[in-house]
Amino acid sequence: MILRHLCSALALLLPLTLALSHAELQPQISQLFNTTSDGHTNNWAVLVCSSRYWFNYRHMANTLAMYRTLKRLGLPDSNIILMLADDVACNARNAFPATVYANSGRQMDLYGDGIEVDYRGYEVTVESFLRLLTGHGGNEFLKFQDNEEVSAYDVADAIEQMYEKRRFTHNILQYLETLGKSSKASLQEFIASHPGISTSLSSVPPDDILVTDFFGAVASVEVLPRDAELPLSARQADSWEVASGRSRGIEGNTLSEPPVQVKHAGGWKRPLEEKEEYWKWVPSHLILGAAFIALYISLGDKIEQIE
Amino acid sequence: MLLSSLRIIILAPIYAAAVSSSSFHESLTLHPLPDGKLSVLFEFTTYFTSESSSSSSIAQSHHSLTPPSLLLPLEQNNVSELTVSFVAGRWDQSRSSESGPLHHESGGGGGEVRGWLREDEEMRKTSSERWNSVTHALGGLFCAGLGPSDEGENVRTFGEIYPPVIGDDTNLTHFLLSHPHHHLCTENLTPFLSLLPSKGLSGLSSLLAQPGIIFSWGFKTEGIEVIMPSSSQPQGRWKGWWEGVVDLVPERGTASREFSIETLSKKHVPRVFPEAESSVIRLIKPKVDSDRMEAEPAGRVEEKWVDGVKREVVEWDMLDETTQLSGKDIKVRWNDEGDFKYPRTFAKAPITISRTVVDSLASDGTFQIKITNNGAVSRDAVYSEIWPWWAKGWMSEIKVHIEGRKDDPTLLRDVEYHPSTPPKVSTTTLHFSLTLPQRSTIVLTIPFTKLTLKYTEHRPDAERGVELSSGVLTLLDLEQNQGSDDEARRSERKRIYTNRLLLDVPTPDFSMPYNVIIMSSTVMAVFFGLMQGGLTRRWGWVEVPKEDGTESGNGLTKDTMPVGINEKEALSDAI
Repeated sequence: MILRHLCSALALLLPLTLALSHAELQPQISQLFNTTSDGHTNNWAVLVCSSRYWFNYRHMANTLAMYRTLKRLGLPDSNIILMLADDVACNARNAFPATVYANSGRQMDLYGDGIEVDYRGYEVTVESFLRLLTGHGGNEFLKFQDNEEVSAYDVADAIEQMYEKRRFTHNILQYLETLGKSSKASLQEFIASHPGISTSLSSVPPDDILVTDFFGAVASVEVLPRDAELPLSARQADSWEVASGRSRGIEGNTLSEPPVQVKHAGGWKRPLEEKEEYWKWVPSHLILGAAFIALYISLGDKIEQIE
Repeated sequence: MLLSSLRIIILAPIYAAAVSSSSFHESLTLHPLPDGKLSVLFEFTTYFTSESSSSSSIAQSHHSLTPPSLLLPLEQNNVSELTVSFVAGRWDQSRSSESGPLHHESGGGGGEVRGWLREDEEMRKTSSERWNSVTHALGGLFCAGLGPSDEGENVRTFGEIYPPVIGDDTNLTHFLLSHPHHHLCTENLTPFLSLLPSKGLSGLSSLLAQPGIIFSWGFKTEGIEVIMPSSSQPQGRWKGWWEGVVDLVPERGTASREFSIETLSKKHVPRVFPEAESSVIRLIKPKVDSDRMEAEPAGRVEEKWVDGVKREVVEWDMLDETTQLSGKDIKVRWNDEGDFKYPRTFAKAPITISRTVVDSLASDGTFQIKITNNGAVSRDAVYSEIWPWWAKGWMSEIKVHIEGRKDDPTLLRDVEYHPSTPPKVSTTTLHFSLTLPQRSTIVLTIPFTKLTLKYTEHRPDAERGVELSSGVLTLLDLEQNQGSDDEARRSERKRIYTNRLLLDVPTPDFSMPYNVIIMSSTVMAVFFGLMQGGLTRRWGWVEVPKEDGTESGNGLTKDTMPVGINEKEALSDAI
């Protein structure tokens, strides 16, 4: 079965051999940080899980998966408002305390170690949700805490108010509503008005990423504590490169003099360069291909499960 | 040249503020308990001076080790002292031989925020407005609704229970907010770590930054205590603590209770946080079996007063260059002890307290508070309770007696009663001044009634019940003098908490009216439907035309299939 998927993946891959070269990265990054005219920097997300009780674990897991996705996209915690009506992570029934998993294989902990829940437990009410959206204060309804209900009309009213106050500028909700699971819409179409996106970390251009893949895919990111043991004074964005280079051979707290503040234009390049060295011997389109095959197989497995 | 000199002039106050003395101290205390468990306490203390410079016209503040997100709201709202505490799980007084956790400031069950606000004529807001804004700010910071949902939730009669650390309470107002339903989870740990200068990345805090491990521990408490600098006391202090109780022996089967830093936290002793002025790992030797206990590598052994008892404490200084602990492990074991044998009896804690509800009915019940003084001398104490407005105590029915004896009204010296104002959201607070005779258990019974709540005032998780705040026993006769004869009085533990109480508050069955309406509507609809049918329909025979040449077989074709009331006739025809 996997072999079949592999073959069809390879066949599909042929037109996709174009890969983004690293030479294109620099202008993209500078564009990202220099655009002030049209660049959106004040994006907010409101995530609500209105279900209570342990048997609604999956509802919490779904909300947290979306939270992870948003954080992965670079939205800071301060701009994500997460409402969880119940706490399954620290529920006494949870055999794995402080964790929430998306599947029984426990591949990825959705709760993680850096979560910030803004409204939780009894604070998650229809009132606080609508107040949050408007700023003052089943199918057709959402059940809050298995107790209260908010009708589609209330939400529509709130979104109408948000629109009047220019609280959101994109028709994201409307757009996502029209997409089916078999949709072929790409990420480029989704972010059509270009709100200042960074494509530097993705080897695949947004044209080639399906919206369905993007929101459904699971990325495994291993964060290495490169600067974990650095003194605090050295952990500033500007001096990062200088300081990390310096402290490599230094043990303990002998770094008494403050690091020289050097504004280094290529500071951002460093981790990428290193990555490039590491993978230099592999052609970049081969990496892309391998990633695509992996993605395709995992999707294929899911399809099989559904079938 | 001109530019650089200008910069020096401009930045001079900043430089001056930056060198203001801040110091950071961290410690990890391990305390084996007699029931095969281990109490683990992390403490992070930062001393700081007032950092806002008054020489500049623009309000400025500079922070090196202190977290601005914590101190700025306190500074703006003129807070003098503030304590936030979260407690999850139950401290077992009978098996730990201790009246409470190692850290004395951790409150009762759930969340609690309390503090002293400075009165100031210049402030435009009233103290309760400032209290609301500071609690909401900290609630946002700690990912837990700490602010009052209604003004009436604020408790203002606990000033004597929690006297200010700075001593003088003139111009100060005390506030307390209790949220007994709160629990403790990763979202409360994340902001706690981000307040620390080491951010959970280095030093002892890196052992703490593992929610998957530390939230599997039994009893947990997290909290902060901030004492803001004032004109009389230029140095402030903020202290964060995290304590948990680890089960060293697995629930099933037997095993040795030896442990090490690595078995506890799945990490070796971390590298020192470079900004820390002191970084210490401590091991308090247990009261029993302490001579058999051995630690490797051996640390410096000292005698210290812990909760009124002189104990042997082993200390490892992480900053000590000669020992080089980081990257290594500290192992603790009991010599000649194989599998841990659970003791049959435990040494008693000096004072234990429990609270239950007896005679519980749907509408009424009786609080039964049992306070046991195991010491050799009689003690003076105040027992305090906070109730929501809908719990109404029958004050005339309160009884006090020593277990096994008749009622003794002399034990209850005084009652301070601040009633609530139902049905507005408000709190009842009670302070009982008690005498606790030596080696006896005093029983305080308070009958109460649960008033009727509105439908919207019930909790969304119906039938679970509502938690009541922990009761607090405040000991009035503590002697800080270490040379005092009486062991129990030497303790620095001023307050002992009961567990929080889950009180049944049955949600009325509001589905009944709906059932009645739906049922009667159905009956009416059926009845009137039949009447309508009977009156308006006409009953009669329908002729089915017979087609020629279709008599063969059973004579039934699609066209002549009899329907409705002609069925019987058509069938008999066919036969």
